[in-house]
Amino acid sequence: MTAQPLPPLQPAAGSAALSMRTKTVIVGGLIIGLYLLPFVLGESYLFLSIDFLIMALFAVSYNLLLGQAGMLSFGHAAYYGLGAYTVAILFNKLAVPVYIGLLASPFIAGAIALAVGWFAVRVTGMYFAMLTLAFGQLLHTVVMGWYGFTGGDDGLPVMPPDWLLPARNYYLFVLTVTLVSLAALRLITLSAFGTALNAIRENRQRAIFVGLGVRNYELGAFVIAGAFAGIAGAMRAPLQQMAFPSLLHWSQSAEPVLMALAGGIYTFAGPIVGAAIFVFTNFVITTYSEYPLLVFGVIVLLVVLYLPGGVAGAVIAAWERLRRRAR
Amino acid sequence: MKVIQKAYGRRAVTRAMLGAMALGPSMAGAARAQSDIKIGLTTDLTGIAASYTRSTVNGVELGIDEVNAAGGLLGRKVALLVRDSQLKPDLGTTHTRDLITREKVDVLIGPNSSAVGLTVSAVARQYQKPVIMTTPNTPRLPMELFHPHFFTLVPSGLMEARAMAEVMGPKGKKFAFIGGDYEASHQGLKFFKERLAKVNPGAEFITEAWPKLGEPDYTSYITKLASAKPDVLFSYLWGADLVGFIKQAKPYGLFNRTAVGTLLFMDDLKALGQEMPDGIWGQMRAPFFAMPGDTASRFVERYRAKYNDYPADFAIMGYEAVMAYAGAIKDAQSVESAALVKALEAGTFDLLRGRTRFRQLDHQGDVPSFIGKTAAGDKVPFKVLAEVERVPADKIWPSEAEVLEARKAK
Repeated sequence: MTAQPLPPLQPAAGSAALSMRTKTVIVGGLIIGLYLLPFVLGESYLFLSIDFLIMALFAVSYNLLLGQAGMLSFGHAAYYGLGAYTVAILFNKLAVPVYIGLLASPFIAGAIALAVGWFAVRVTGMYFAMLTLAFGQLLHTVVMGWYGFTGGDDGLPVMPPDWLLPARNYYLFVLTVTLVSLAALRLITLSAFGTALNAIRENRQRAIFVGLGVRNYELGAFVIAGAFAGIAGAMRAPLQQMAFPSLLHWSQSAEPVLMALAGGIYTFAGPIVGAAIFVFTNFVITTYSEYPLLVFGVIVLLVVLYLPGGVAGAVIAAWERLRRRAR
Repeated sequence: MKVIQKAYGRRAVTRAMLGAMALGPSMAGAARAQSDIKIGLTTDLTGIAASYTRSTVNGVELGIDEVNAAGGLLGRKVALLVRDSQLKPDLGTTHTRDLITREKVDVLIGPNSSAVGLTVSAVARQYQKPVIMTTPNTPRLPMELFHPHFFTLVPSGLMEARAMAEVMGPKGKKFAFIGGDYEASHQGLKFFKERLAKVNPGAEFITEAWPKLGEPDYTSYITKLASAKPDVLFSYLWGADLVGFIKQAKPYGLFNRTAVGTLLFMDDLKALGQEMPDGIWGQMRAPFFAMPGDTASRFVERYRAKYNDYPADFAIMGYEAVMAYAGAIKDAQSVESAALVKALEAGTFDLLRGRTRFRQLDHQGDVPSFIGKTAAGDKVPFKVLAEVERVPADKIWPSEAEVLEARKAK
């Protein structure tokens, strides 16, 4: 998957395709639609939508590394899981309510990402992927084995307060946190910092040559991505009413990679589309058949082969063509 | 203006699609016989425990078939809805919620793994639906995480370790331990030691071995254990780990010198076949060959006729969960949660392992723990347990004070 260089698409394809006003209207409409969803959807689908929102944030946070900076991390689930455990441990040991734990999660996940990233960004490419994988599994092993603190392999129960238990309330809570987080991530990708990451992805040598502190930028991206993954994980624990070690496992780390690739890594919305495909396929397949990852793997394979820009990339390209024809 | 119309159009389409998704399956659900009593079973059909889970589903299916053949319950048929949680706690929550909110199941049967069991139990608590556990047995479920809709037909890990200490405790002075390096195993040893101190105060542990789960090579652990020359070895290995350990330890003569007591499932007996040494003390949850009475032997025949296999412990416990629900629904004349919980609490159920009641305090079924010595079976092509002792629940389950203490500590 990584042996070949990523196809050279213009990274800002999205912004070139749609005018600012169109975008505002679409995004605004979607946001209003999302806030109205609990009044349309049944409870079960609402829970599934919460699942989707959390995965969307997880995937977008990951894409800051893969899509923006060209850093293929295989250990992103570690920070996701740490976010979940931050909430669970604060709740169990200090009786801190989950919404306060959520505020702490990006700092804990970010701090550990800083420690790991400090080593990991010293290498690039496959070595970076392997190092992040190794650190991720190390953290997973610690969580799995530290019975007294983390509850070991059975996990640590989390009890959200009563007002957060109903699907509708938790949905609105998660939606708000996710939207704020996505907005923050969007600002980061558009900032000078984000542009520098793009430059590093396009040509690391040249970025060094023009004087960018490449390692610091990469470390910064790693910490920010980890912190936002931590927020996603922190919303996961109350949803499952539990934090469990498989949240940190490498197989969990594969999920944002697949979601980002399926949706498209060169657009901000790509991983969100990928998360939608992933969550809904996974649900349908585990309900009616076995081997969900097999099916999703085939979907990703088809997307990568036929839609190299991902689903979102393809939609935007089609939109462009339509507009050109209309003119 | 055109742009705005387009944006509305897109939103409308999205909404319509999502709406259709919400309505479609639920209408299909309504079309299914409205009056079925639905049992929801979220369990781990894929993953390392797949064969155990298959047995559970088989046992549950057989139970439901029999109930339906006898005319159903309250004049209604019983239907089973199975979902695959793949040993993933998050899928456990998702599917159990879906079963309750969309499929409108009336009662739940628990999964295979303890981690998934915790999430399924949490969802049952949230929606106040009765759930009977048939496999996950972490003591946290009936103790600190107890809620009134939780019931269990498995002896908890605490009960099993104590039963083992009762039987193995008097067999020597020097004890050794081997178990996979995970929580249940560490807990098991702790509970065993606590009871051993009462059963045999002079006994001591001289060595402990902690291979990782799925360890392929036990040589170093075997030599360590053999050189310590213990009188008794307490094993918390099971499944492929136990099979590998026994095969590799046999040539070292470990089983000749030392009394070995281990967790044991029927699948392990089948996997080892005639390679299983005689004289190992095996602890089983529901050995089909040691069930009392005709009801059990007729069950084994029906199970074999349907699935062409012997019923594993998991199949028996799954079948019993259906029987307990059937009994309680008849007693309550209702599938409504509160009435059902009352009926489960009050009833005595004739299960394959014997007459069973759920204790009020923690809804722990008063099921025994079966411990016997491996020996050739006269009717089956693998070794079975002989001289099986039923350690009664009230000798090994936690006292009221212990349960309340655990709940307070939480």
